[in-house]
Amino acid sequence: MRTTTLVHSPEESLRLRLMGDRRARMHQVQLWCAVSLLRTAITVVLPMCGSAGWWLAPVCLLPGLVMYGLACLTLRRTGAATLTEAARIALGRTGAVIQSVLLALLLLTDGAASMTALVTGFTEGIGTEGTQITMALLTLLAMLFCLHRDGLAWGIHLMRWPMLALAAGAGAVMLTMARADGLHPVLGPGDDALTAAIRAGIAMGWPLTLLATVEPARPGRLRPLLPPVGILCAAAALVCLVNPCEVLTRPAALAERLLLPALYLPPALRTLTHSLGMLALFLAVATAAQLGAGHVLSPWGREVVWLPGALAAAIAATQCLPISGLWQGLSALLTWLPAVLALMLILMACRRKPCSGE
Amino acid sequence: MMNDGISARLARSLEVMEQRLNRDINDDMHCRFFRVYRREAAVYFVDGMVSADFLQHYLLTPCLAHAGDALPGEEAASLEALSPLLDTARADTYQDAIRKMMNGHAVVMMDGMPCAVCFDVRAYVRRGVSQPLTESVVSGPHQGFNESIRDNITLIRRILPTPQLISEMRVIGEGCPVSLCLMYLRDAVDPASLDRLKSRLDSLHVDHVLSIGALEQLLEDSPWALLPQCCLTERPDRAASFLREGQMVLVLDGAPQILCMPVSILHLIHTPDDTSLRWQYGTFLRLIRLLGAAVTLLLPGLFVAAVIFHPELLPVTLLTAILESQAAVPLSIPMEMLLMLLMFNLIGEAATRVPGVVGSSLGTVSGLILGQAAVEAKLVHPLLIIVVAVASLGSYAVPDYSLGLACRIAQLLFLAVASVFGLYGMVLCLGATAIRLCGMRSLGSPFAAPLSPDRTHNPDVFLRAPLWRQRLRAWLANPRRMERITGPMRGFDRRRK
Repeated sequence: MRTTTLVHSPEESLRLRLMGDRRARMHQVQLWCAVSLLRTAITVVLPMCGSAGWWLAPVCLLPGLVMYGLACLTLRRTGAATLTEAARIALGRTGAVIQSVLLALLLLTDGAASMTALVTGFTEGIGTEGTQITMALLTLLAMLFCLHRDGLAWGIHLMRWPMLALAAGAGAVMLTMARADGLHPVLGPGDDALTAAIRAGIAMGWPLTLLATVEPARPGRLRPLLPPVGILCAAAALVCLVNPCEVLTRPAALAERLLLPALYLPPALRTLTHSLGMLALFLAVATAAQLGAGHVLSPWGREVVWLPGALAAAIAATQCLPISGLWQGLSALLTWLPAVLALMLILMACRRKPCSGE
Repeated sequence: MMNDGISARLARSLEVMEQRLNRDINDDMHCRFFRVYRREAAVYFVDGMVSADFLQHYLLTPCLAHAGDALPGEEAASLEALSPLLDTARADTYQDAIRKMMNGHAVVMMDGMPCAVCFDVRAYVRRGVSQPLTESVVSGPHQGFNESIRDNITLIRRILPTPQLISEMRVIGEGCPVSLCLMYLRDAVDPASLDRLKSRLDSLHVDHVLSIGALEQLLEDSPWALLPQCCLTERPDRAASFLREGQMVLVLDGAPQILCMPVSILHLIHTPDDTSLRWQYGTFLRLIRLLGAAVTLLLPGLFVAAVIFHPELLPVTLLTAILESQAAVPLSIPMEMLLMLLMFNLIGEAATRVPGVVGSSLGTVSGLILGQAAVEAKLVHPLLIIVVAVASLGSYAVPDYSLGLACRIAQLLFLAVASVFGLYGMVLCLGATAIRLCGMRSLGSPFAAPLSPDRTHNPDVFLRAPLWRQRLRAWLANPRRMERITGPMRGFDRRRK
């Protein structure tokens, strides 16, 4: 065993502290990204494509990976630290404002979708006492309680190992129940359904773009795409292996779709997995509110303490709408808004020279 | 004027002192007149706070012996020279003189001398050094702090005999000042934290600080948070350990505990036994304590959530037994649980307030009789008694009293959430609590570090690695002095480089 340690200079100590803070922020965005990808895969893509989900879900990530690549390219070319700064350099101040508003809108829409899934999972799926509004208010209270400046990122950083361990345990049990014929038919219920699934899931990977904007823990290290992408691929494969195609594609309400991945787990593990899912959704909503507030204010370089709380309240307020209409509206927004983001990224990446005066 | 200078005329000084000390109604403020160096002089002291022998032998006798001698030099210096064995200090204002007098000094005023000379003849009643009452250990020293600031500083200095150990004396409280000592290891403390603590102390405007707990409340970062953000200890070895880690301690006169800042949540879970015992035992005990805290916090809520919302989690026979006996009980399960938890808290509080042996007997007897009687009267379910007993036992395994109380309060919160929203509500609540905890700070340092955010640290968090692998100070220390030692700690052991 090694008994000697590095002597830390003050600079080294400061660097290590900064690295710790960056790592926490990276884990926060990674968790949000993984939850967003999984939510779309489980509630939108898998019910359409059934047993084809194990390969179709990763395929639907490809546009998102391209957007991530474009974001990285833009950041490298402009030398900016954030996408908003890159937009200011490449497209001018108006471009930066549009970019930040677009990102904030996407994040809030995604937060509202996660909130809808969370509340529906609680009220209709699991069946605890409480109406949609009550659960939304409870979640809002919990969010306001924990929407600290650094607390959320640090809390997610702390909870990542217990959450991953629980997910790995559930995955291991699911693996014991896996059947190879769950992967057939490879094309799912048919060509038409497959085309519809691709259309619905094509924008699924946009959250990966935000991973490009987080400073890596160590300079020069690749921004880690692997955890969210890996989690999505593993989860999609497991769900397909455990559930027959007919079960996956059976018409079902949103709540049932959310509970589907853990349907065949033993009762205790199923309850724990549902709890883990709800916790992950809750953290994703809070993160969306916090990141959204950051993007709204980024062109002005300001920080407003109450804004994340206000955005969380706005997200919670969406639960006053009827669930089915809300879900359809959010799904449509999350399909088309990333296209605008992709367009902006293409414009920024293709720009040869920075705007004059910037 | 409160800060007016001491008059060279003794008559004037006597007049002011008589008035400010309320001597006409204050019977324990004494004044004695004598002659020294052919001048009139007076000594003021508080009865019971000075040693009569010291006063007589080391002050008054030498003064009277020189009653007829001519003044050899400057007045104050000549007076000080009469008692070379006593510590002396000069006071230029009446306020200073009175403050010294209230701290047990004898204040001498002499005609023609424009100041007072204060002789340290303090000897008040104090408790001896005894075993710590609330922090018992199996292995390690059995000394505890007492109420004397001087004794407490000495106890720490005996463990850390180094001039790098700084003790800065201060006075706190504007109406009734109390002595306060800020101690730190100069080469280990983080200068930023030290400045922050000093600035907080300087900015305090209070009439009087009655106890170290009151000081804690005045200095902490988040007064609304449930968790304590400072650590109180009555063990000198623990105080020394904090100092070695680069933390600061505050010693308050009259308090048998010292206050340590900054701390993390881990400091509230660790005990001196963890370090004194071999690493395997220390790790085991620490894990048991963590289990105790988790059981206290979650078990009642988990039981209620499982029975009401998630019966699939319980074996069928157990569930049947619970539901059958529940049919005969008038209260719902959450209400039963709440009632029993409140009852156990009541027994615990009552046992704390009654004296020693009676207290422990009262706790045992009350627990047994009340539990048995409640089951026989079909007020509560027998399994519920076991759950409540285990949960209550867990709270006593938490080493920090404040943290134990916080766990017992949070337990009720989790019970309420579990009763309404089941396990999912509990998970949300647990997540929100964990995030809130991570966002807290102690003297500006992250409260959950080094767990989150990552900080350089020894392998001494949940598991305690062998001592020879613990080469760093805490992450709270001065970044320039993170290493305690360089080179191999066990120089003889060639296997471990």
